[in-house]
Amino acid sequence: MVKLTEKLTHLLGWIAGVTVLLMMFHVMIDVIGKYAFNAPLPGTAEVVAAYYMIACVFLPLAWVEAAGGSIVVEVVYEKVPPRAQAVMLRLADMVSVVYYAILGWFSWGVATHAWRINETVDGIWRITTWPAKFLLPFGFFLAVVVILLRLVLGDRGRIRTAAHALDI
Amino acid sequence: TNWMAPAHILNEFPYQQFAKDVAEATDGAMEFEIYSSGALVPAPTTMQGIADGVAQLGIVYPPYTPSELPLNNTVNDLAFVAKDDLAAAFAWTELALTNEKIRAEWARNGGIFLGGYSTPFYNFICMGEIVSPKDVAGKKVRVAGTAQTEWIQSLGGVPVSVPIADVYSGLERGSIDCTLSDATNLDKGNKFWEVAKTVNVLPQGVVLGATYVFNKDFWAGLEPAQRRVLLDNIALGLARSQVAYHVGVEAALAGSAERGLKIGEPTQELQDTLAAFQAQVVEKLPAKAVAERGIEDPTDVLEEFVALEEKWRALVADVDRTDADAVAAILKANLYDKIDENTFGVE
Amino acid sequence: MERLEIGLAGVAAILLLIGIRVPIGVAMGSTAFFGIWAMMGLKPAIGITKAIPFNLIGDWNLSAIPMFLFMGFVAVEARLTRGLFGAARIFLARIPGGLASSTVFASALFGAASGSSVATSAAFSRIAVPEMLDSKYNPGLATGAVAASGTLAALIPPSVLMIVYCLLVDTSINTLFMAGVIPGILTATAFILMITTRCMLNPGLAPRYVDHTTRAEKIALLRDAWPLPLVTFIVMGGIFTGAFTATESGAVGAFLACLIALARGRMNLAMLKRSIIDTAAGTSAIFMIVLGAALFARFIALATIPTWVMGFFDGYSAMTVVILICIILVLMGTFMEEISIMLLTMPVLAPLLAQHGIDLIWFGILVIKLMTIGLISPPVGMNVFVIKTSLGNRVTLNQIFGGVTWFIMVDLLVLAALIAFPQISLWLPGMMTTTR
Ligand code: NA
Ligand code: NA
Repeated sequence: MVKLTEKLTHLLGWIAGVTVLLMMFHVMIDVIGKYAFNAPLPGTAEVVAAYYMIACVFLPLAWVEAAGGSIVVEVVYEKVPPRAQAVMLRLADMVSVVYYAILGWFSWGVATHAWRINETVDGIWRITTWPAKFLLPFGFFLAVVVILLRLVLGDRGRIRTAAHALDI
Repeated sequence: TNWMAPAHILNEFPYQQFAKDVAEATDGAMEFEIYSSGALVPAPTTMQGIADGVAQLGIVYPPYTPSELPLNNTVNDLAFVAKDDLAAAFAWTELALTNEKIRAEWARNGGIFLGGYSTPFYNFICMGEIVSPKDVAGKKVRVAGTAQTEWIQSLGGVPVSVPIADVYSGLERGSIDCTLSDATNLDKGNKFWEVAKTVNVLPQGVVLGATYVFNKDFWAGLEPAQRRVLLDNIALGLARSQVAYHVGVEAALAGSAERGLKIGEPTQELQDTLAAFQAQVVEKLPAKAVAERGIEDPTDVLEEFVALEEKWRALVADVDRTDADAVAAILKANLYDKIDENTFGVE
Repeated sequence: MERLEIGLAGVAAILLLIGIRVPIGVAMGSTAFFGIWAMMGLKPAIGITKAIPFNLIGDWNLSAIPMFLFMGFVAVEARLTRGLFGAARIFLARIPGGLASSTVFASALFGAASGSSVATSAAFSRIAVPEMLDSKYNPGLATGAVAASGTLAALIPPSVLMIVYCLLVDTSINTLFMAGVIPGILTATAFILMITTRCMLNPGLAPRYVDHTTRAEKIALLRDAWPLPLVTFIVMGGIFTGAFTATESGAVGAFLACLIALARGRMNLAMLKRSIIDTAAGTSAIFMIVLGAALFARFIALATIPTWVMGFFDGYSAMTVVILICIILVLMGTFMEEISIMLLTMPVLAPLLAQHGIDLIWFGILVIKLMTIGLISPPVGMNVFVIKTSLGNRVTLNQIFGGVTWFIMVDLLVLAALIAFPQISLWLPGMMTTTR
């Protein structure tokens, strides 16, 4: 279970990373097309918004959770004894699990609804958007699993990710 | 809920003013809290928000949710051939209030349609001058919606979709040559008159939206007398927004001319090209809607819209389009007075 | 309970949750969900929570953020920043406190290629601080300079904070970008003046630095340093001439940074992998806060807090309102994260600004300047934390905050100038357009 979660966490993280590259190339091609050939790539804005941004933000959620990369405020945390720190970490994890689970559950409903009505957006091209909506529940639910594992199993349940800093 | 700023025509009159009037008419028994600029839900999810009871009343723009409102969007595609914006607004309102298929589509989405708007005609707002079809060839034109896209393509232009907020700088820097926009964009909000050099008033369709969509349970839970107050004020709100649009267009064009923009008329050739294109839109639309939007044959609905537009063109032919009360009186007498507040939308 | 009371209870709940180290985005989002539930019932709470995520994040304008982050990461990974600092040092080594001033100068240049002040601080804390400490610089001055000049990246375009502001008040990103250039240069100049004066008056702060670099090394450093300013020039030029939207200039900048890294032979698979995953994870972390704050903004609106706040400003002049807002934002900036502050306050303030006819671009620069102060002001200063993290035990948090104090005072002077002379911000964007 831990191994599988770790594999999935890495997989979704890398897909999100590749999305960053795709976004760059796609926009570059559009820019070159627009200025050099008077032929912008139709639907660039729609695809970037509906697919690349969504993938880039929601797929790495589990990775960010595992790497401890969520942005937190540590003013109080730094000043309390280790026992209290441990309690705070667990409490914070519990709040996070509830929040991600709620968002995951709702976004699953949104995604299946979009799929049933074959959701599209009207642009110069009609872009089908429902597959992008499934990225949200995947991201949220994997984050839930990552946090649950470390809540229940402690250190044994910790998902490892490459340890470079997530400073932004 | 209204995603536009409080000073926008579609917020100021049908929402801010409406809320005040309704509160007054009911001695404060019915008070609406207006959330503007999408402060409650983002524009594309307004329909869902109304259905969920996040808001009791909201303005819904069907093109944001093409998959949820396919039939309404088909009617909107047809609005590219509208001949009179005021008549189009009221024809669309009557259609959506009375046509069973359209009412069913709103009901499926959890809302009750009670009134709609039409934008003024879309014109060419450009850097270079456009008077004849060949002027469009090779030009990058900002468009919204499929009808406009195909129209520009048919002239050999390059349709581009950029966010409305980027159109100003796009025109200025030449990343686009033209935008199809209604004339009120010249002075209000987007202030295109600061950069654009020419306007061509060729009327290239309007865009329709639902000004008033109510939450079903909320509407059903009102007293009939309250529903009557709302219906009367809706008629007034719709009339006021259309009048404001009309006055706004006149002021924008006059002001633009004053600022030195060239306000041009289309050549006969361009008008004929447009007419031919519009005829072909009408012809192809039903089959296209069936194929692309997955609805059953909408021919009857579309024909009804055309007939209604004609009817309303006659009704508003002589009215003073700067007089909101006169316009509202016609709208009430011919439509809203006939709606039964005891039964409409309650069953 | 009345809605306003629930709203105020929600604000208290958020502070509590953030206090126990719940991620900021989670704290805001969950308070919003349960708060709206308490006020309006479960169905609207679900409705709002369902509606926001996809529509908020799936926005073309927001995609500028990952692009600029990516560009910054590539620049750091390809060690383009190191060259910048080395080159700046050559010119500024001789003046008192020259290394600290070099840091400011190089940060300003890098800031013009990076959208994130925290990333800029992180980059220079690893390069500049060790060198200054080795030269026996006062640790407060050394770290303070890095922390404060990191904030230049938010003021000098491109800037993530500016993009967020523009989306919130619905104004032009490119215009605000241009408006930030001169205030950014002004701040950098003021920092350098302050450093020089202090070091002249108290030479113990910064012992004279003995420059050992040979002529050949200097040439090598310059050769190393030129590409990044070039990228900056293209990105800024594209924005200034309006050729690129924010997202496009981000993509072009990132692409050029990759090309340079490739040409330098510093692009390899490991480095690319690190950059893309850092970008994705960083984007995700930022937008989880944005998402939480967007939900929270709805809660605040439904709780009628904006009306309540606007009541306080009734009857004041526009200038008084601006100054009062500045004071509030400085105070919030001390203990809160910057994007969250904007997301919380702008929905409340936007109608107020419109009501008083306050110029949104000018006000935007003030807000960004206030946010940059917040980034370094104790007790919660993101830039300071980043430096502390990357330096470990070599300096204490108190030393950094002590050193930063001088920079905050300079910042406040610059802020006063920006309020008094709107032209500092509005002149350059005025050049862009003829009539605005
Ligand atoms: Na910057
Ligand atoms: Na702070």
